[in-house]
Amino acid sequence: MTTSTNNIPAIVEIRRVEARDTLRQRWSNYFVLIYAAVCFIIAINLRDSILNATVRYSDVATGIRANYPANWLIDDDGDYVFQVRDVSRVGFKTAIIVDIQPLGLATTTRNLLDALSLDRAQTLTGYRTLEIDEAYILPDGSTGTAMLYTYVNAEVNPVLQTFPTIIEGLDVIAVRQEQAIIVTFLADARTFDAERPIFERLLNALEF
Amino acid sequence: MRTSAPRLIAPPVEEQPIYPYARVWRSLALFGVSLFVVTLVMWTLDAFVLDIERTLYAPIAISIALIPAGLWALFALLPERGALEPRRGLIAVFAVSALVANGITLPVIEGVLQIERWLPLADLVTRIIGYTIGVGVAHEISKYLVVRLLTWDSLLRARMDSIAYVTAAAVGYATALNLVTALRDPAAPAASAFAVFGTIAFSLAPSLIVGYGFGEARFSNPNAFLLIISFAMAALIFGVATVLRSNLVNAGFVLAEQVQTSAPSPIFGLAISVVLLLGMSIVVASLITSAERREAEIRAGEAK
Repeated sequence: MTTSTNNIPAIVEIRRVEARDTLRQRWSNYFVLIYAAVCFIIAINLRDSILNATVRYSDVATGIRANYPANWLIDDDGDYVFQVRDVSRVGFKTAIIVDIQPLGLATTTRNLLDALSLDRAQTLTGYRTLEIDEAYILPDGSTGTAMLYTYVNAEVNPVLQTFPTIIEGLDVIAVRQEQAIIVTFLADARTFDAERPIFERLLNALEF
Repeated sequence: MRTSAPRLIAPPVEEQPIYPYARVWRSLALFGVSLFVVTLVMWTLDAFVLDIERTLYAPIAISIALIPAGLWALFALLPERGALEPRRGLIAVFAVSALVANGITLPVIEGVLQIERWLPLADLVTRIIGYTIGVGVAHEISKYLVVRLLTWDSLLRARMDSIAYVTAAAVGYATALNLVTALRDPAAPAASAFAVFGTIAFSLAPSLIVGYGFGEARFSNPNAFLLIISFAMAALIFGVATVLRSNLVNAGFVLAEQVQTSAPSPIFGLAISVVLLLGMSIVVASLITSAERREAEIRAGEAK
């Protein structure tokens, strides 16, 4: 017990003395933290490089060149230039379709959109146009037209017994030399916004 | 003549020093064997005896997910009460580790790393790297930080303490992951039991290596790189074992002239989990024994 200067007993605090870490102990801890941080950055980088990996597509006949996502299935046998689909996705397979339509002298982009809408309304269940943007800014700075729409996709195979899926679609139309190039993005409405960057990347690298 | 009875001197008896702490390896062995037996019993019941309604999958899966925590409390926590020097803070390590798994690590793995979007479809080498530096490191750093922050300053007294605390962290962590899986997508009892055993083994086995490095860093003052090497090894073992297990367990795609069925092989997964847990326990036990013997020799040399 100690006494203060005026002889009044003072409180003696008994405290456990904790050993301080050595330099090696401190650095071994820092090394682990640095290692984990570096691994996290590499993992993010690896994720981005795999998710954003692309394959080059080139069609001499139409003059279209594009970079489509790796691991997506390409198909150029239909009534379009090419179509790529994310076949690994469960449920509706997200798709990007590129097509070319000739434009007559009297045909406008709006006529083309109306024709597309009429055709889809007859073939797709619950088709509905949501929005038409006639001042859509294309990646090269020029103005194009975009149409947002929705429909219900029912599985054609009755054995699978799945619920119908609500699909959201986006057409982006650009006119070049009396030809309209139509780039269509189709995805499950629940994942449409999350997957739209994939479509934007393809659109940014599209050459025609 | 006076005779006297011969005076007998008892030979000196070397008294065995009393071990004041609860035995960690015994607890771990009992825990592992019990969980293995429970898994086999669940598999047998589900496959041959009971026909369980699908509506009961969720409560059964949740119960199975909680079994490791119960076994850990029985074989690791309870013996601490009877020890002369019980380890304090085991429940705190268990609980904080479970909270970190559910509140931080799992959202980071699913939301930021988005493993399910890109890793399962990648090639073999990329999967090993991805599971190592992504999932493995995320798991291990979470458990390491919990144990480091809660025990380093005041609770560690011997090397085996680090193993006891990383076991608590690993079981708490895996319990949280198992509960999340059971709540999200409850499987049949046998599948749940296999998954629970796998999660525990894949959480505990790498953590034992980190525990060894942690204990050495605390008590031996080794090279500053030992802890990071043990940490990196733990993450690598997790990555390699995860890919190996998925390759062996998951159903493959069979193209053959005659019709063949390709079904998942959970028994392979169980075998891999057992080998991983047993192998890592033996390796870490021998490393710790070797470190303790080395330290005893140094002390004996200093005493002379």
